[in-house]
Amino acid sequence: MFTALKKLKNKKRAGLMLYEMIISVFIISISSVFILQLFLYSKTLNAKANDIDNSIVVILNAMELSKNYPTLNKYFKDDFFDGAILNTSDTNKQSNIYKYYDENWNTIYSPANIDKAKYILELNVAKIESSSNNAILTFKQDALFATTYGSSTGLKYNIHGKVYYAVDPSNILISLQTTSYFSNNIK
Amino acid sequence: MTTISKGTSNTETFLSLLLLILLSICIFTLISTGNITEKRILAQTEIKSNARIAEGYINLKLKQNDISGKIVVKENPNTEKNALVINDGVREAKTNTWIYFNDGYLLESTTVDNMPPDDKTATKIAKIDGFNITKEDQKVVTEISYFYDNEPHTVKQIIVLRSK
Repeated sequence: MFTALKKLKNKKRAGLMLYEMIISVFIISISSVFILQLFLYSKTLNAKANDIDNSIVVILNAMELSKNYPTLNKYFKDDFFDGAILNTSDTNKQSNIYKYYDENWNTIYSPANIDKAKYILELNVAKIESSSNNAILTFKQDALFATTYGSSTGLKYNIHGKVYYAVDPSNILISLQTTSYFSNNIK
Repeated sequence: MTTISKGTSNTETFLSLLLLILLSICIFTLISTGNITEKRILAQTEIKSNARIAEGYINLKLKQNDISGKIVVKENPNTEKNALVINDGVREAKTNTWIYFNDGYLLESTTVDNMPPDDKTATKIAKIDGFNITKEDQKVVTEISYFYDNEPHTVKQIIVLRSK
């Protein structure tokens, strides 16, 4: 009688252990899904941070260049805009220029390869009629950049630049604005 | 009857052990994947931040010394590559601050006027894989390269000086 009870108890324990293990595997599988999602998210986040980082460099380079030229026509003729597409009717008033980059942030020079672009830099340059303040170059992006130099004479333009994904223009990586005098009179 | 019961119990124990092994493999894989991911992201961040440190340092130096005749780009006689030279000092004690690339680092060396930089006394600024600088009138273009995943990457920076 005692032996039979002991055997029954052992049998029940062995069964219980299997159930415990099945439950453990189930729990670990469920939690693994969430953890793997976190890994994937961290990779995406890292890639996005990288994209924003490169976008800032590209857009600041474009805006910094504006200090070097007295007119828009000369500005757009800089090497930086090689391969870029200019969309304008009158370059002295308002212009849009598009520069295309591949997945490694290399410039796409040939218009035939534009469909391979992953990122697009869009610059909107508009002439400002009023020249009430003396700022010649002011970067604005949530007050992150604010640089003002002394007074100057020259044409005053507002450059609004943004970098976005080619596949989704609404997905803007970075947007910057600058008010710039195009003048080479600065000493 | 007793024999069958014993057999069932052994099978269950075996299955439990099998699941236990499976569970350990899963946990081990999860931890090692996490570890690899973390190391990769940290390595990438470090490489990128080194490139940004180098870029930021040169930007700062150019903006600080934006005075006519102070900023020059010339060839480093030791490496035969372009270097940024900042002319400093007063009449009798003129100095040159060389910012250049050598042996995997962006270095800064201050020397007596017209003397080449000295690697032994130079300060390490950041670990990068390549550096080039060119100056055309007021436009200074710097290119900082680094390798990640065996692929070369370049950060190109354009700075327009106010002084001529």
